[in-house]
Amino acid sequence: MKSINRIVTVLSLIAVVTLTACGGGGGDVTGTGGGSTLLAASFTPALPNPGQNSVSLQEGSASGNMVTVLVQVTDTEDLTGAAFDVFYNPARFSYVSSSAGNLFESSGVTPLYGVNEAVSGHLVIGVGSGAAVPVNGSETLIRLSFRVDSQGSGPVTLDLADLQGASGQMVAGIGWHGGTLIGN
Amino acid sequence: MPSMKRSRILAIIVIALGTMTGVAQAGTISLQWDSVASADGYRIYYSTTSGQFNSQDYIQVGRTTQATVPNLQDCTTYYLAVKAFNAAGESQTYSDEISGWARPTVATTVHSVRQGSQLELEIQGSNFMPGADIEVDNPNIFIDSVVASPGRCDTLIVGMTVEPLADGVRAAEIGSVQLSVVNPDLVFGERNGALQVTLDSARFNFNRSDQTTLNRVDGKELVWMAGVFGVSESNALYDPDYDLDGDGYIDGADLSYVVSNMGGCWTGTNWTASDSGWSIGACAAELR
Repeated sequence: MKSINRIVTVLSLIAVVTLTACGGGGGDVTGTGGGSTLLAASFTPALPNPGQNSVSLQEGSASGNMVTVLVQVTDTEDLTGAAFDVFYNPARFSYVSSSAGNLFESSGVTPLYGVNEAVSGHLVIGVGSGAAVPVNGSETLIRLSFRVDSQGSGPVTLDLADLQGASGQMVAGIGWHGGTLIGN
Repeated sequence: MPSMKRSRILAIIVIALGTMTGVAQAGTISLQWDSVASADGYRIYYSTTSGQFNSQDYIQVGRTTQATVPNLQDCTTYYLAVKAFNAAGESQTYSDEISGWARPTVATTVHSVRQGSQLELEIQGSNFMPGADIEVDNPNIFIDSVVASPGRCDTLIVGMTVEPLADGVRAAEIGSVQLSVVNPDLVFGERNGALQVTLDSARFNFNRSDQTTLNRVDGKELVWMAGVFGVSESNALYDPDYDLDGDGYIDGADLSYVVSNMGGCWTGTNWTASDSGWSIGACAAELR
């Protein structure tokens, strides 16, 4: 078992490195970023109290011009992964970095996280696990950190989105809900 | 009794051609022979006519049993034989004669070959004998045909398959590949890095049956990979379709190829990005 644990540790590092390397801005989630400190960032969810079979964006934490947005899944069937795109206004905000949510971290299998911003304002995201996990209540898939670069607000939307069930099938009937990034 | 000694020396010389290995050198033939008691050295005679050795055309070596004859003409059959010598003189007759061309060489050209392709390459070099064969040190590259250009000994047309041509087949590992030209007499010339295997980026799209994002690399590819991540070829879970670099291990390198290409769409020829980022115009409107 010792060698297996070591492998898992190494794979975890790879996943984290990949996540960071593809994060676009490469900043620190809890840092203050490189923008003006006069701006205060926040996020308003479109669905503050998500119901069953939903994926929604929620505010995690905010500090200065940085805000962390949680991608939350609420009460649905056992999952092995999620794939979706996030769109935001790159003229006003910047994607900085991402970090693991808690949903797949307890699966016992190293989960994979990937975020690629091939085009500014358009994040292509995948989260996957080799083992299915149940979703009871609201669980976080992944955390996304944004920086406010100029005052104002802008929508954050989800598209091309799918949750993948225990046997790899697409989970039907999921509602996807974004929100609004705000810089004051 | 010098003549008796010379006869005894002659009797036990046995030479062999082409058994040496090493860096290929243009216009050389390497050979080795059995040692002879009481010999002070050996003379290797060479000629382009069988059995007709000129007393001036030889190289001389000391108490060694191997030598390389340099400065030979390309694509020419040479005949070689050895005599031993010592203070008493040179053996009266030659050893058994051997023949061959100079060692083949492979030009320094680097040929880029993509995974998942069948192609013909023109391999340049020298001293390619009729019937020469090609070997590569990548088990997932197959040599389909080797044809010499008519009347030429410096060019081979080589047909090859660089796997995978189909799903479920392990890919040729990316990177440098050594290529060897092996003449029918088994003398060979080799070149490290003569082939450079590149990724088949079309393979980044695992979910080809997914009608929603059929021509797009996205997070679904990563989700699919998670089910086989971390396994090696010896593992029953190993799926060669996810081993993008063909190294026998589905690992962080394969993951990074997928992640860094997420968001890309099929242009009809490739998934690669432009210098300024993804060519989003390659994506159908509903995928942008």
